[in-house]
Amino acid sequence: MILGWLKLTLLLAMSGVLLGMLVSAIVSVFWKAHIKIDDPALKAKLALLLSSMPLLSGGLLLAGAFGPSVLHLFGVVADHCGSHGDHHPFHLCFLHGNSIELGYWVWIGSALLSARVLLHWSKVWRKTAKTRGLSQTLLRLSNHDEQDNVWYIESARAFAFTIGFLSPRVCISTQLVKELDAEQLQVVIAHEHQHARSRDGLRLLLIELFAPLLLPQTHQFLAAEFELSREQLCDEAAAETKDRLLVAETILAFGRLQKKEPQPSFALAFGQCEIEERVHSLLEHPPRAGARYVFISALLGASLLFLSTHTHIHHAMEALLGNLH
Amino acid sequence: MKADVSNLGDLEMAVLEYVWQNGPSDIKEAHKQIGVERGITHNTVQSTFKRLWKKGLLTRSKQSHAHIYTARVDRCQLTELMVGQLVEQVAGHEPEVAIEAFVNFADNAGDETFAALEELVAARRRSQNPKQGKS
Repeated sequence: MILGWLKLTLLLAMSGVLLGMLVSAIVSVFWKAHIKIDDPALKAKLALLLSSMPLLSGGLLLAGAFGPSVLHLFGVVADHCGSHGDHHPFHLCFLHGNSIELGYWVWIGSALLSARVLLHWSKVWRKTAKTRGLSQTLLRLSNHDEQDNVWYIESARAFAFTIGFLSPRVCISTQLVKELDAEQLQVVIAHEHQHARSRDGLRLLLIELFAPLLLPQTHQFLAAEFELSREQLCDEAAAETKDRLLVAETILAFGRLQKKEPQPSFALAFGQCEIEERVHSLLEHPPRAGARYVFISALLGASLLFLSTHTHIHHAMEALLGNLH
Repeated sequence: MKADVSNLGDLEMAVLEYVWQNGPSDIKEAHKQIGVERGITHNTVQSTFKRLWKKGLLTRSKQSHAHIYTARVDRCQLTELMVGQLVEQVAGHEPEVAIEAFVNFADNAGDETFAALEELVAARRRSQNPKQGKS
């Protein structure tokens, strides 16, 4: 009995994930080909939403299946089982209903999906741990400037980055301090502090954790859009303290400096040629806030959650599963 | 020998700091300075020195029965090694989530792109401030 319900839960979760994967892929293809979003905040939110779509739709499907009986358990809604009737053979309620007999393919499918997820997560974990280990030691070798809240690293290479997920730290090399003028340096510091304030590392980690539930091309596109939009948002934050042209000039000066450095042996998988888009974006007018769109999407999400637990949806799922019976 | 800087712990860093400050060092003296206050044994300090030697960060020579350890890299060289490795790590095949660089380490914008963008920004600057353009 319990195994039957577990199999059914796995089947529903897997179906939701596959549905979300499909929706995310279709919307991403359409976005890439036809939609130009100017507001980086909206773009970042949309990329995050589409990346989490498989997880969300899996959750919505489970809510649709078990929502009524769970809500009844907590006394939120009345029990509909008494008036259920026999309009379809399968009764989707773990309190009074019957589980469904499903083949071994459910176990195999969920095992394969779980293996893919775990394998990817372990790769992300290993790489993140290595980078964190290196950066922690680098922080020990650096000098903390309390006024700017920046860790200055003695190095002949020009670089600036923010490291960490929960308490991100801004690191800047002494070479960069020598190469940029004071105003440009303030732009870099303001940009990096914005990364730290909005905990972009943590958001990127989330996108990376959702990756195995998406098609590789979809993930690559969404991660690149997310990364670019975060950079643009940090540029906008720096532009609020200085002028937009100075931020564009700083990006170009920094890019030139970086080109002089020994190049890494690998090409980055995504995020190439961000400089061009960032500079163009700064030369245009400041983006319009997309708060309206965020409100609409929040409303849409809440409606979907409500609909998924609605009796008609619940009965439709029972009818569908009854046909599999 | 290539130095391994990928995973240096707190004690390893303390030993390196000690050797940088004191020059050629023996384990007995190092234990008095960095081991006693941490409540760790002579053997732990000895194995830390040995690990750093194996990682290529210290060299050693034998004087009577004791090993004398000398730094193979100074503070600046260690920092450069770590920065180099971090850049390689960040620009690797797998996307990196633990670090946000101001400009992507492997951004492949070419010289022509840079020149065109610089001209565009300069033109905008001139149009905002015409006097600057004439001078």
